[in-house]
Amino acid sequence: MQFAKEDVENSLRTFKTRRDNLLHEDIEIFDHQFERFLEFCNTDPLTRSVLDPLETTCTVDLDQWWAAATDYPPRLSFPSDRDAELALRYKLLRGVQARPDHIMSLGIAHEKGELDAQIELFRTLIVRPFVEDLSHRLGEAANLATGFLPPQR
Amino acid sequence: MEDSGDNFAERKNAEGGRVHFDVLVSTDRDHFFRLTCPSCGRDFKIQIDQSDLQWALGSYCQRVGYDIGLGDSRQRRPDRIRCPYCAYGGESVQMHTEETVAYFRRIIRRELVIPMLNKWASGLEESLGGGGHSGGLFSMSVEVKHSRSVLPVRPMHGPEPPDLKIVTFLCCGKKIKIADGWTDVRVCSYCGTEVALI
Repeated sequence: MQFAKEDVENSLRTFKTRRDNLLHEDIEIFDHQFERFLEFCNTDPLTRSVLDPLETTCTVDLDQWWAAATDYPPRLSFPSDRDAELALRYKLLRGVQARPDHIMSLGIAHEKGELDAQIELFRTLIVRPFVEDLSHRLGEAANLATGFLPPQR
Repeated sequence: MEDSGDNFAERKNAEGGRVHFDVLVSTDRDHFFRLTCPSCGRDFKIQIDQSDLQWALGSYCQRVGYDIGLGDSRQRRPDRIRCPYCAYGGESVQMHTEETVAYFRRIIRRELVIPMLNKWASGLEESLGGGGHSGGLFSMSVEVKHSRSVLPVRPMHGPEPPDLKIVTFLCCGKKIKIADGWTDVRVCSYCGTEVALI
C-alpha cells in the first residue's frame, strides 16, 4: 500500500501522542484517552494497514478469556504466535470499550482494590504489550510505505 | 546490551544500592536520531552514539539527585553540535526533542523517583512503628500508613519516521539529516568548518 510521506509522518506523530497519553496521562481521564486511542486505531490508514490483515487471526472466545482472567487465581493466556497475540489484544481492548467493568474485575482478581491500581494493572498487562508491538509494526510499515526494503535476515 | 532493529539500548549496571534499567532510544531506518534546535526550533537528525545518550540521561538523573553511569571523571562530554539551519551551537543534550525529554523523565520517574519515594515512605512507617508515643504531660499519637505507589507503565520511545535527507560533510566525513528543501548549510554541524552544499 502506498502512502504519502506526509501522511506517514502524521500517522506516526499522532500514534505516539495517543499512545503516550493512554499510557501516562492522569488516570482521571483514562476513559477519554482510551476512546481517543481506539478511535485512532480504527480510522488511521497506516494503522489499519497493520491491523486489518490480523483481524481474522484471532479465534479466541472473549467471554471465556475474561472469565479465566478474572478468576481467582487469574489465568491470562495469549497465543504464542505474534500476529494472533496482537489480534487478541486488540480484540480485548475493543471489548473493554464496551465492557469497562472488565478493568475492575481484572484488578480485583489481582488483589488491586483501588481504581488507580486497577487501571495501572490493565495498562501494564493488556495495553502496553499491544502498543509496544504496534509501535514496532508501524515503524516497519512507515519504512515500507516510503520505499525502504529492510535487509533480509 | 539490548539491540532491536532501529533501537539501541543503554543498560545502567552497577552493584550495591545502585539501580539497573534499560533505556531504548529509537532511531530512524538510517540510524539517525532526531534533535530540535533550541534557537530556531527546526528538526534535524544526527548519528548519535551511546556515550552522548548516557551523558544526556545522566544530566536528567542528576537533577533528581542521582549520579549515573561511569562517573564524571571517566565519562566523555558530548561534542558540540551546530544547527544546520541557523548554526546555533550547543551540546546535543540541549537539543533533545520534547518527545525524548518526556521519555527520559518518565524513565527516571519510574526507575528512580518512585522506588526512592516508596523506600523513604516505608522507612518512615517502620521508624514510627505505626503506633503511638505517650508520656509526661502530653500524649500524642502518630500513625503513618503508606500504600506503595503502583509503578507506572514503562514508557516507549519512537517509532521514528523516515523523514529528512542525508547530507555528508566532506570536511570530517560525518553525516546529518536536514529538511528536504534546505540548501543553505554554511557550517559543518560537527567540526565547525565552513561548507557549501553541492
